[in-house]
Amino acid sequence: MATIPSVRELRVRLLQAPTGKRADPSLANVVKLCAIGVLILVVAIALSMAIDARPSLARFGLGFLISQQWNPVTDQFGALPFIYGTVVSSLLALIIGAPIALGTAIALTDLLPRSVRGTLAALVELLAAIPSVVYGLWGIFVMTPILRSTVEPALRDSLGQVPLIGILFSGPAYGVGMLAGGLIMAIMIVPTIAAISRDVINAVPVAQREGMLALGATRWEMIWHGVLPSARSGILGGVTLGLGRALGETMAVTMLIGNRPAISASLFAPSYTMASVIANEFTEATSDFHVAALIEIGLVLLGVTVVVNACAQLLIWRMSGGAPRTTVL
Amino acid sequence: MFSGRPSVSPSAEPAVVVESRPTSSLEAHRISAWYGERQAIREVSLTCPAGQVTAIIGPSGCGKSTFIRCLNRMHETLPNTRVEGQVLLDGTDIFGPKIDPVLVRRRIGMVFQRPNPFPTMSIFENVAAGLRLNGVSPGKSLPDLVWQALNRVGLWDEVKDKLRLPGTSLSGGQQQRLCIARALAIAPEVLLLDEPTGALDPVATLKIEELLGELKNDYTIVIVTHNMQQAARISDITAFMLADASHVGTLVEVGPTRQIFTNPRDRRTEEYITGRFG
Amino acid sequence: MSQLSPPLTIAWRRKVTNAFMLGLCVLAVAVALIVLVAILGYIVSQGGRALNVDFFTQLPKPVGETGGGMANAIVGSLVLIAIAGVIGLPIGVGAGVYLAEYGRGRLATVVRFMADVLTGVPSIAIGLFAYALFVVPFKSFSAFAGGFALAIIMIPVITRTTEEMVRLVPTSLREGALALGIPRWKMVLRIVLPTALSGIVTGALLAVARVAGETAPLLFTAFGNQFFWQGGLREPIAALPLQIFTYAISPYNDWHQQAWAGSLVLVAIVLILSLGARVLVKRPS
Repeated sequence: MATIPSVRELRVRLLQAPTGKRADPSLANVVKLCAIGVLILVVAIALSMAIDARPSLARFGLGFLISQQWNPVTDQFGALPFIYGTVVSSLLALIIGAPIALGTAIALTDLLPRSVRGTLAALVELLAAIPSVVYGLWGIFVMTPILRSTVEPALRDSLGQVPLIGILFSGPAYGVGMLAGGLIMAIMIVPTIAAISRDVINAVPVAQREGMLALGATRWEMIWHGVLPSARSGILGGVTLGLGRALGETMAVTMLIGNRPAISASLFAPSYTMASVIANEFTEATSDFHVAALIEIGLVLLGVTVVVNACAQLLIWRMSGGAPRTTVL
Repeated sequence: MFSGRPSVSPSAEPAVVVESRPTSSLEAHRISAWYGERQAIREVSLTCPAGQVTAIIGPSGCGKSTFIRCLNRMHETLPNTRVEGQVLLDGTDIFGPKIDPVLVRRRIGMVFQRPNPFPTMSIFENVAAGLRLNGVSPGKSLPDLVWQALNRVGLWDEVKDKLRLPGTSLSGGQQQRLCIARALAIAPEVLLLDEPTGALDPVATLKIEELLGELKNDYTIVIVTHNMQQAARISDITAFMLADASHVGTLVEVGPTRQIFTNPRDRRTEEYITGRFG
Repeated sequence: MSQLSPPLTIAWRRKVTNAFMLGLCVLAVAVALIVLVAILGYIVSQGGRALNVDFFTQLPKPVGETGGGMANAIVGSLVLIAIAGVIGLPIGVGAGVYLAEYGRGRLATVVRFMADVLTGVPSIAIGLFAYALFVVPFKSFSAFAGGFALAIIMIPVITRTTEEMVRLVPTSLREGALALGIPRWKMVLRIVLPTALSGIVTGALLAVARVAGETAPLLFTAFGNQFFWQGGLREPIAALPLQIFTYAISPYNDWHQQAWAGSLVLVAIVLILSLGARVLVKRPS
């Protein structure tokens, strides 16, 4: 048995052992550096794109945003078709996706039996795990044939005959186009909006629900008057977040929207989004101006999505009074 | 001793392993402490003699936990806190300008109200943590030191076959004794205990009180407790604290335990120990 | 409306509205689930048909020849994720530790806000950034640029989960360590981080699940490669989602089949990672 060090020996050694005088600040500085790194990433991205977009910015100025010309041959570039495509397809995705998401959230918090809520919620969240390119693949081979052969003709024959809105459902049914792009994005943003809405609706106190029911309200009236008003800003935040996702969505849209830089009133017509044109043309860009123009489009896209997402975060923070969900995919 | 230079004593220690008795008393002089702008305790002065158990009693909110955390410079580990006053460990002020608080805490150990064994470490590693993580692991004799500490707290027989199990796999009372063993393993001169039995059942409480009775021969012990009977049972000296009208804790009375409980000088002390409040 | 007060009979109109709206909500869930089943169903059936051993072991065959596989793409994705992990994990965990242990005041708030903003940046913009930083100066597409882009996407996820998990470590453990005279940096590295480890790993798995399916940022960084990665960080590299994209938009039926098979593998990987992450969280830390 080795000699156990005496108490005195131990104490002496302990008092001579390092106390972190230099290591403490070192660790603090290293992690601080990492944090600062995260901070400057966003700024660096924006800055880098702004710098690379300079030739285009200088040449086209603000007119870039309203010009419809996109001609790599003559080096005339304008972003309007892409802005239009992005905005309209994202709005379409919202119009279709948000009600489905909200309905899902309500069903999963207040309607369906408790025993199935967890499983069904997990299944809905599964939609978020499917990569964008896989949505695109499914869209090309499953969804667009159905659109082309069945849905779009049906829409054209029904709603297409109604004055005023009929123009939305006119023209040849290609399958790919604005409608296909908006539809696939609608599916993709449902889990995002549903997840946040569920959290927000669940946070409304049970007492509020019971109070409404005690007053003789029907179940729906309880939800509409007792639950949703309190959850409103959070749900709005979720919807805005969904919008942010749709705006930045690239692959699935690129594969389904037809990729034609033209503005058309019909939802059946092919269109082009900002993300899609970058994805399609960047590696084959013909001139420096072409590249710069594409990067400028990227800059516009960055600005728009950052603003939309910041608004979404504000709305959600306001509702939950604290940190937002970290696991939103 | 605080600056880390080895102490040189003219009389050499005998070669045989001998537990050196603590010569360290702890003297607090006019300790005041703040959380931000709010003052928690005002000018508390208390002498904890070497080799004796000093108990601090008082109703909740009287600042006794804050006070004891000043004694090993733990109070200042919280953000935005401040301490004024002196605490003399064997004559040297632990708040002196050149003193490293980390070294202070290696001489004054602490056990907390809720047992806090490190969950990612085994029982063995928990006891050894103070030595290993401070870089003084004595290599081959580490198992002996661990055995020594566990033996001291009466835990050895209960855990000797499960040293590799996580520290959290023990019962509450055992975990607390494990934490005491962990604190003792680095041979502190003073042991501070902040309501150590507050979260334990009566049987475990009794075991720890017995343990403290045995330990006091070799350590200076300061214990905060809201259990008056406990203080009466185990302590030599008792100090009574109370929050004044502005919710700042002060020391009302201190004296030999027997005297405090049979013949307190201050009316407030008497009211507290006879159960009229708190 | 009924004249009785309190109404003992609810008016017919309210009842119908109730049934209708509730029906719509249930319909919404049904639609979401039907779509899910439709998508997964096709992936499994179409993908399963084209999936065989060759898929995992062989390189793509030239246009016109049948057979071949996506072995290079699978390996490539693994390599890219590894590079992304090496870059992203230290920065993400470091930032998370900063936010939980050291950050007080304005810098911490701004960092947190920026991390949230970063999650909303379109991945194609991140690809452009990586392109400017690592493709242009070296005049070649590279695995490193691709990995870097993926790292940027991973970082905010890792940062936020690390912060959450480190915060969850009880103060009592920190105090226990400090009371033994253990220096602060050791307490963080040897007590706090190991205690939070399973949570941090969960965050890392979720981040990996997120980037495993990313295509856009790789379009002009990793770029894709018909052959196996030779080991150089500066060469273009194949990736599973990239290959799926290339095949999907091609006119060849054979490649379409392979795209389905690739989708099956990709979705399986993402699901396993996500489930694995959730299982880890359930285990007591």
